[in-house]
Amino acid sequence: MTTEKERQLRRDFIDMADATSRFQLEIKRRLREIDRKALNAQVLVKRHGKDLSGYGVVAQSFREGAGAMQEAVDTVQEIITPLMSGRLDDLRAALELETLERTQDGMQGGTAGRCGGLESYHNRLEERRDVNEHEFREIGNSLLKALERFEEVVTELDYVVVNGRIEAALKSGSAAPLAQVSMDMYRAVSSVREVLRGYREQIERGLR
Amino acid sequence: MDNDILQEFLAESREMLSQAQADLLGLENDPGNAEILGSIFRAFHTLKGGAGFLDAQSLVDWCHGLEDLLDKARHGEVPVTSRMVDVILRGTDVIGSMLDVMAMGEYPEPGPADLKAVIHALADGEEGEDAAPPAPEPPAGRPEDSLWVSRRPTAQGAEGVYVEQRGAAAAPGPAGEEISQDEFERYLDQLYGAGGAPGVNGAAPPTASAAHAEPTAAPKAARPAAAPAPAMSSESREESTIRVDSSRLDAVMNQVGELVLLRNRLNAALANLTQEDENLTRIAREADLAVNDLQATVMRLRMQPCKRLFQALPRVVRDTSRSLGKNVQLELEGEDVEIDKTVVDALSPPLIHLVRNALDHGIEDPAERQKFGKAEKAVLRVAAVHLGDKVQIQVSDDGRGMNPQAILKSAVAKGVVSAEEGARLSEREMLDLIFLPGFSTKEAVTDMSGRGVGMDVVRETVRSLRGRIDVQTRLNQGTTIVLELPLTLAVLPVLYFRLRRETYALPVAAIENLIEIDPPCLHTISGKPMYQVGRDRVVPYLDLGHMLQSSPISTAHEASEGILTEHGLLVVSEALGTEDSVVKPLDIGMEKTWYQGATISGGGDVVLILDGTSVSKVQRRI
Repeated sequence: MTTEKERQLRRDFIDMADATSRFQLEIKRRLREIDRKALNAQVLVKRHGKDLSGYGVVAQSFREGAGAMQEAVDTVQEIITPLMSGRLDDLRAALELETLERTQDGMQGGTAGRCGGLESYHNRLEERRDVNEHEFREIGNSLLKALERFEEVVTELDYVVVNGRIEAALKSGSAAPLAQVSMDMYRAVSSVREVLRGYREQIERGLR
Repeated sequence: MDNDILQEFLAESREMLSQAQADLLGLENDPGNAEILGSIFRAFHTLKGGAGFLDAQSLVDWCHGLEDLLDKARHGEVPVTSRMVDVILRGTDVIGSMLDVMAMGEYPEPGPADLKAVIHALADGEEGEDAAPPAPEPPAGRPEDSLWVSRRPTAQGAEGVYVEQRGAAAAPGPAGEEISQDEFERYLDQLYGAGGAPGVNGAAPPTASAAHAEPTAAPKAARPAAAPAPAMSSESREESTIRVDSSRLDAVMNQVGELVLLRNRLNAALANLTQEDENLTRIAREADLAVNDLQATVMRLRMQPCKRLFQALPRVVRDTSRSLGKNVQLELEGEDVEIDKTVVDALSPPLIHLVRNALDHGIEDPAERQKFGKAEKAVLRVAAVHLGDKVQIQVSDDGRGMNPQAILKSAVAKGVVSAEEGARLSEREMLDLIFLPGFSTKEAVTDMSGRGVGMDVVRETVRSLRGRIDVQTRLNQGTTIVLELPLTLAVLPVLYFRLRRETYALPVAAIENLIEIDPPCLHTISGKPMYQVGRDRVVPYLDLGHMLQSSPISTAHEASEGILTEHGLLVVSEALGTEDSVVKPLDIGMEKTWYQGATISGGGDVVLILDGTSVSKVQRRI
């Protein structure tokens, strides 16, 4: 392993850790926003009674969609934790290997055979890195699938939002507040999609 | 008196009386309308029959006097004049008072002798003491023959029933002296009810009563809006309607409320199931729909048209505008809009107060209107508008409008607010001063208004009905008072919110929006925390953590969310969700708390329901 490769690995890890941290913070805030918009829609429906009963179904679907998104986030979160700790362990092993190689080189000047114990430890570290790399790929693929599922949930909610906008357009008397709620929801869902896409790209880069 | 019969008589009599009053106003505008005249006549006739059955002799006598007058008008013997309508309307007021006495289980006293004398004078073709000018177009027509039935002692001292012919053809003649046995039986039926006769039911017969019997076999059917008469109700009506004590409806409504709470708990329990059971979920959804349908059906049982609420207004406008020397046209809209019976019952006096206020304060006299280039006849519009789960009652006039500065000046002069406080008020807040106890801009106290009581009571009544009141006014263009009331009081949609670990509820009707708290938008103005919403709106910032838990919510370190209401931004930890709740009253010191009651959440917890208005009052004092 070259030092440059190690540096790249560290940079990838830090980028992924940063992206994950940003994603978690951002998605929490946006999901709360979506839930709030969904609640706003429900309040609007309750205030207008039967006139907006059709939109009540949409408002309920907004909340259910927000709940499904939260579940998707929880799943992503469950996968992220072992992924990051695995990557951290890999980095630690890489650091140890690097230190070990430097120590061995320093001790023997590169002229004599290596110490048997150190050689064995070196091999174990290499094996550990292979296992970590394999697990990292597996967990990384699971994360990508979880993010894919998340995107599906967002698409489903997007579909509900479109229905909501149609429903709002069909209502004449209360159209303005409904249209506003629907538009707010559309923006909130779009922003979640953007956050999600950015994070997915980051994870894909890290897995390459 | 048999209580059941009495209650039925009172309910029907009040309906008839109310319809008769409306008809009288119609008759005043259309004195030649024989149909209206006949309808009013029949109302008094039926009232008299019922009163006789219940031995209420004074009421029988009073109705008889009015009936006599109307009968003469009906046959063209006396003209229908404004004066006559006025007198009969006063006569109906007396009947109303007599019914009130009967409602207390007592027999009414005879009606006022002076009014009785005026009624008799009018019936005799005289004008009475303070005679009003005769109506321009008295109905023409030749008096027709009529048969009169009366009860008086016979020569032997026993009670007798006499039938005689009166009117133009009362002169001796072959056809005027005899009636057939069938006719005689029919008149007896009309006098005593079917199958009845003096002494048959044991009731003390009215003395010296003389009822005009319709010459035709069946009287003309009353107009659809006419009040039902016990002796004349059609079979179809009896089959399709039933009178039910409203307390029974209340009981049903309460039971449905409990069912709604159970439904909420069922849904919450299902949501907490770790494994979803499709069958159970489907059943719960169907139960949900069934409960919703049942709730809607029971709510409809309590609904009454606003017509009932508006029915007293034509008379109020007529009498008040006359006494004030103003020319006013009343326009009623949305009489078919339905609203909860409790709201109709409670809102009637405040609505009359608002109308009288508009007539006294708002509408100018004809000369002043002319000076401002307005039509001499002012328009007073009372409308009911259905808005989702609410009904708006609007009282609008095209009068002088309200001057916020004049209101403030008056309020300061009366000590309602200090000059210092007044200087900080916005125009909207100045207008709201009219709702404070003891406020009035009217310099002179009149019968109508100016005593400084009323608008505060109106607002309190509206609030007690979970409604709100608003004033929209433009100088010299008019004022609209808007009362916004819930369609029903049975179920209250609320938003549950979390304040740290505690859950509270807030009526959805009070909520405008849920927003994220953005610290840069929080400002302090004159020592009061305010929050900027959007570009040009600043509202009071009310930390419920501080208010209800004595510990302010730190927006930087704690979860926080804003509930925007018309009174300001309420800061809570988290908004949780909406639900239809049933309000349970709190027994202790409600007037001193910020809660309007409690409910049981879907989770089965007792949750306090916050009263947004009380909270905003506290906010003003902070």
